[in-house]
Amino acid sequence: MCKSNLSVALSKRPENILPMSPFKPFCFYSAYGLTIKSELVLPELPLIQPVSKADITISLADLSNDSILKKLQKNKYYWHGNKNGFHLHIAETADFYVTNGHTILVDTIADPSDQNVRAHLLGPCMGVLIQQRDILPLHASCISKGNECIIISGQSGGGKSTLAMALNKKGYPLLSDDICVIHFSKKNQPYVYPSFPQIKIGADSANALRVDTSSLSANQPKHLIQIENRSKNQKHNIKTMFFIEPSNKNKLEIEELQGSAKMGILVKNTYTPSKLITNLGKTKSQFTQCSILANICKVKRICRTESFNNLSEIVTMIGDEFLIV
Amino acid sequence: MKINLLAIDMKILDLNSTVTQNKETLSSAIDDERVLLSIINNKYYGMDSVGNRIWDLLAEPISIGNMIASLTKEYDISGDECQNDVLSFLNELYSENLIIITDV
Repeated sequence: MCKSNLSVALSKRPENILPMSPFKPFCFYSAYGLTIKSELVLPELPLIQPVSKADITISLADLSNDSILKKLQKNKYYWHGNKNGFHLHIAETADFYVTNGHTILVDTIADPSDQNVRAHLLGPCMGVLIQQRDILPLHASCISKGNECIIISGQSGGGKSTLAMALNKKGYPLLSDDICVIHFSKKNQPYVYPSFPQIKIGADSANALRVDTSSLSANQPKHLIQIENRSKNQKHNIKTMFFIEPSNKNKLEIEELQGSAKMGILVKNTYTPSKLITNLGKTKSQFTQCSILANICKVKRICRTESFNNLSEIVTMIGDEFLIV
Repeated sequence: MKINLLAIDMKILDLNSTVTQNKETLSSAIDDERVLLSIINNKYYGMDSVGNRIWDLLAEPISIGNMIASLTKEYDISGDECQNDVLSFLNELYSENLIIITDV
């Protein structure tokens, strides 16, 4: 059960009325293959029944005495990571502390349900927390068919979300848009779990795909779209990994990568910057995870035209990949 | 004094040098190639199949002369050519701290 109404009521309360509640209002969610207990309302995540021991706890806290955050505020460096934890300072929005692969503390002067606070919480903070748990976060979208999935990765502006949206409209359930999480079993078998059913897409792409954005705020450069068609499965085997990048050629190029080129492109598209991975002490586990993926997954590179005029051709090609035995 | 230290650092490997992998390196075979990550400078290196074979031979300390002898048996290459290529490859690995000299 979620006491989200209570929490929204608290955060929207008039300044002069103190909230009185015997319990801290928590919501329970499932995302990235993990259970989350959160004091912040996160409407983009799927709700679940309360669990006694959640994998992740998100709490509001007073971080004003945290010496590292104080330094970040002074020096304007916005993050600092080490083996113990990760500090993030976003001016005029919130301070965060992520530790132990379990706890995220949020200190915000803004309304805790503010979209900006949630974007930093579900983006960089969650990426680091996942890394702390030795799960690999890839900067990728992911769609599925049955218990198999196809990963679509690439740098920002590559066209991941546009492709994922188009494939989702063709009937392929969405697993993730921004952070695709890859868990490894004890036998080092990789599995993708659904992140959460939302796509962040540029206004141009939304128009091209005829996605209704009339109810969304017009002043945002990117639209957030909730996806209805999601996978009923949790664990998904990886069928193929695509890496998409725009090129200045006027022709679509697709090539299957071999050897160290596979490793190179994987490492380049992990969600957390390599300097931060080193600071968190995760260099070795990430190297091992990327090698496992490079050894057992098929990896293809798509160089698309700048205008993306062959979007439907790419969509068909990716869909057909599920049919290859 | 400083100049002397620099000269030692810049030591160029020859046939009599005995070398081995620097253990401060993570390594993974992918297909028939190899990827290395140096923990010292956090840089990635990719090697083709011949480089991969040489990396295998570097698992234990080996003299460069012996390495060239076994490579000329395995690959269709003349002794001179092999010596040139292997020496320049190993010097490159050495300058990137991927291998160390074990002879005193």
